Formats: sequence, structure tokens, C-alpha cells
Amino acid sequence: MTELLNPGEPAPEFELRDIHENLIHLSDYRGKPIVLAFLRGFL
Amino acid sequence: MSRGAEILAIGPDGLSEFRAYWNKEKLPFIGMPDPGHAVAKRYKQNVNVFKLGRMPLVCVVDSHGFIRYAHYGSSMSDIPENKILLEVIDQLNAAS
Repeated sequence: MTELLNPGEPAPEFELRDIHENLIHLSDYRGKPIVLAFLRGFL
Repeated sequence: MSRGAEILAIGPDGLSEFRAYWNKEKLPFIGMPDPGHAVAKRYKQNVNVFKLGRMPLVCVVDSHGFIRYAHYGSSMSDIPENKILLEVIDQLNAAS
């Protein structure tokens, strides 16, 4: 079992492009609550 | 989303497949393909090789960038109820 992230830890920063190809950083949304949903999928 | 929260969804599909799904379902939040799984790995999203699947993971991050809730799904359908997420967000808003 891999170690998981736990409440109280800093959320790891990331950058990804959205479906419109805008570059999104997690930190762009600092100042408001964020729900991060990692979707299920097949390997 | 009401309550001033932002929803960011990250999925394992490539851009064209992900975009087609997003447009078909008319999803109103930000969708980001992560086909290399770099971010999914950084967040320790579970992969079950026996189920051939990448299990859902939902985190709530507070306004300062700290994780306040994390639910690592143990099956493809193991997703927290919206009610639970809204309660967490309400608590964060009440505390800020």
C-alpha cells in the first residue's frame, strides 16, 4: 500500500492544461476552497 | 459551485477523449487531462492492478492550500457523497 496524503498536509502544487488548453496551477485558486476530483479510469 | 468553492477534475484520458467527454456531458467545472498520471501520482491516487483500474480520489483543499479532506476510493464506484463534501466546505467557509 502506498502512503497516502492526509488532512493537514500541504496540497502538492501542480500545473496542467485544461480542455481549452489554458495552463492551470493549483495555486491560481488560493483563497477559496477547492474540490480536487481525480477521476476513475482504466489502466 | 455555490459556497465559493472551485471544482477541478483531473482524469487519466488524453486531451481529445477528455474534451469530447466534457463537452458531451456539459460539465460546468474545470476539467484537466493528466494522461501521464504525473499529478495523480503526486496525489497518490490508488491504482488496483487486479481491477485494471485507477480508483477515484477526492480531496478538499482549503483557502491556504492545505488538504482538509481526502477520500481514496477502494473501488471504481467508491466516491464520497456530495453532502459530505459540502459539509467540509461549509466548515472551511465558517472558519475563514
